[in-house]
Amino acid sequence: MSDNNHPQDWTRRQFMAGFVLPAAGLVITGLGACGQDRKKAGPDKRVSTGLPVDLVVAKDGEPAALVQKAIAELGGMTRFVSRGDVVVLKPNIGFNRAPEQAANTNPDVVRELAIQVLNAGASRVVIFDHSLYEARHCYSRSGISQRVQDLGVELEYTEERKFVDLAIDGAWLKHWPVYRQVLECDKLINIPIAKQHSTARLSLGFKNLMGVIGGKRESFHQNIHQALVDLSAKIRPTLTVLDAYRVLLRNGPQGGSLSDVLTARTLAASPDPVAIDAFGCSLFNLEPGQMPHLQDAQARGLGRMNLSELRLKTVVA
Amino acid sequence: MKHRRLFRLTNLRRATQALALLAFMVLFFQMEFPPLPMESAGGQYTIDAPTSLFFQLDPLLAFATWVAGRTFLAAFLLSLVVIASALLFNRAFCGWICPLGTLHQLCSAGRATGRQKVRRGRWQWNQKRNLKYLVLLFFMAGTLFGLHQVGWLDPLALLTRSLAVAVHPVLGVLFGGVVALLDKVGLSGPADLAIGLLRGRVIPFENRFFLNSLPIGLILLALLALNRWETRFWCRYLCPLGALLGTLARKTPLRLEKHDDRCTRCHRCLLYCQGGDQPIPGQPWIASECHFCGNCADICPEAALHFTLTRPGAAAPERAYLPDLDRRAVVGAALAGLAAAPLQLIGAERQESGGQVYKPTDRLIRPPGARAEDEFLSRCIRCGACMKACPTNARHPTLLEGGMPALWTPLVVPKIGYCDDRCTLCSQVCPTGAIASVTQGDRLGLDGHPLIKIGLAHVDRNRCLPWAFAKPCIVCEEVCPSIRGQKAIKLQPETVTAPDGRRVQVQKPVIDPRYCIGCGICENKCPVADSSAIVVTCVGETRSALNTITLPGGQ
Repeated sequence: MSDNNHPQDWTRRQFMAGFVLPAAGLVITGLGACGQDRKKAGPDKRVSTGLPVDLVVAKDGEPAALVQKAIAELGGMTRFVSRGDVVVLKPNIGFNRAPEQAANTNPDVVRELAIQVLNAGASRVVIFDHSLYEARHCYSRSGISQRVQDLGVELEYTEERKFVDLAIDGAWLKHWPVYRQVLECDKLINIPIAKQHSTARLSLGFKNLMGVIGGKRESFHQNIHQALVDLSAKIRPTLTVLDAYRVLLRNGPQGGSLSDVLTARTLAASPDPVAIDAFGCSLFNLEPGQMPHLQDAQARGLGRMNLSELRLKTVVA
Repeated sequence: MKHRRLFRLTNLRRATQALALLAFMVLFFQMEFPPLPMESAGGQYTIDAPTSLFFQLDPLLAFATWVAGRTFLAAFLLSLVVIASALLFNRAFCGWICPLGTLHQLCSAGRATGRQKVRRGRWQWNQKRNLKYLVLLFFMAGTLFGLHQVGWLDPLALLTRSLAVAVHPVLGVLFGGVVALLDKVGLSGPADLAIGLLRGRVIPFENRFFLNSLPIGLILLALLALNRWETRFWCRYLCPLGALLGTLARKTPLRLEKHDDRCTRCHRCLLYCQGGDQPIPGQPWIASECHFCGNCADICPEAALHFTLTRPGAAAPERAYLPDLDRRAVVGAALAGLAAAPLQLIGAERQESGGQVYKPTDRLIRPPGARAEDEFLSRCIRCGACMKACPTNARHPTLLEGGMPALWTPLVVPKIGYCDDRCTLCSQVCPTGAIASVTQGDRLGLDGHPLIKIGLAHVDRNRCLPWAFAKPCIVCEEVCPSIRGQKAIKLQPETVTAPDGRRVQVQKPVIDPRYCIGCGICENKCPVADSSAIVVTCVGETRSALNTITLPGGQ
């Protein structure tokens, strides 16, 4: 039997069946698949909706109830998510910290949003963050992996190969690697948690978008406001939900001590990222005008920072 | 070819070897961040698998740790099982269980067939194989001085270390290449599937890089390659554990019955013998070399060889109770070991508990929970389990950073990976408690424990962006974990003159040593790419009373 194993003894038929056909199949599927991706819409995920309000603030409730109330006031999740959509949820899962320490987005906020997005008919829900600390620590300790594991959503650890160089063409940033899921998805929901931060002053919605990019993010701090505006001008979420159930007042962005945490039991939601950050300032007794990136963002037409000009609705959950 | 029985001793042995190798690999891959989410958020993640099992079976590591560490670790009583196996069945551990032995056997495969024949003479026992006994003596002599260097050559420590530091990272690189290729040809689906299945389990979660992986990987490759020269070269000539088991096998009741009248001198027993113990009739059988693999009796076409058990101690005509060592060589090896120990220790200047000088290398940062340096070295078996388990790739094998006695012990290299302030995985997998068992609470100084510090961060003001170039940057402060409610890195706002003459406001980082645990994330994330503008050195480490910047309690 050993003699038949030598390649030189193969018959033409064996050679075709064993080598040429599989190889041809591989090449064809390869070519076919190459043509598919990369054509999807850019990272502008906004939807034009005649919303009843510009900004909803829900207060005095548990995380899930806050989400339910806020989204309902905006007209329901179906205003933002269509049947069959691929939806990316981008919470903050950057730190090896437990929910009580208010460094990561509240896991129940993430869970409730995932449920709502699924109920709105999304075909896939992808949840990820490009964690600053080691990802498995962050995903576990944040409680998010435990709270979404039964929902049938994809909680994804980022991979280096999935960062795609994207033209930013901003005032400072010209191009930067951005996570492929964000480019390819249909809808993007940004879910920051409100925190103190020593260069950005506050870490809110704009700052949370740093979790969808790769590269040498540390350099952003040399010109953080410009970097955030450049990035946000290109990557425009469908909806921003600011988790202020717990607020980290000091030692941000990862804290670690409960004495730095204020339980504000608040949540804000809006398609306008500038309005969200402007509202976030009020949690820290700051004026939106004190945040340089908001002025610049408003000037570039990314949204409105003057809360008094907005249709703001406050509800109690 | 004559009919063969399905149940044969050799088949049982092969199955046992396969199972043992599989178990070893499974336990190796369990030295990893646990893949399932924790029960509740904020809890402690634990590695539940008995990752130290194989080490605990190893009598060589047991003796060396007991003697060098002057401590009795009860878990190593498990090695009594292997000791018993050696008393009864010679080096059966080598032939049936040892995963490195199995790899050597696999790499030797095929040598007995084809053109390689007896005339080369490498099938006969020879005096040079006594080298392993001298290796054993040399290292055991060192243990009297508290040197625990046998882990360099203990097969289980050597294999685990080589897998962790060299093979596992290579797997990741190869796998990454395959995935990139799949991506390129548009098969991202299968690539994603493979990553989902294997990443963080068999394939490194992130690509890993280890200092000194090259020598460690090359040593493993060389040892495996030597099998092409002679079957199980390592096991026959070098392995100190094999030597220990061979010594124990001196009074074995096991007999190899040889029927010289049936033997046709076909030499097949010699060709297939794993231990090289002269199974052929007409020559003395060397019991202390026999792996009890069963090949000789199984392969003999004339049924001239049989294993039997006799009353312990009963003499048999055709048996040599080797090791038959040259007395001068024995004395020489022991003396060399005794002499080498103090010689190494002079260079290290590490004695601490005796109140002597302690002059650590500034970058000799040990994992949290590591005992005082001399105690640490007397326990560490250099197995690399901590390096495998570290989720941030922060532990690396030393070369000479800690002196010769410390070769291949774990070093924290913050530039490559920081040490997470709440992680305890390295202490969980350490088989000898060289890294003492610590909990999250211990690390953070809760429940009355002193805060565990492994070093102290220092700002290099000549390289730091705000300090040296009047450029805004706060990355080190941003990532600094807050310990006991405070960050160790504080920012001092200051208006300074930039190099171009402008007056700019910057925030300059300064260190409060009271809150710095030396985790090194500042050094790891510092945007000054080549040599970070903030570096951690080991000064101030909790485990040392002498390696301080101020008097104890002063900082």
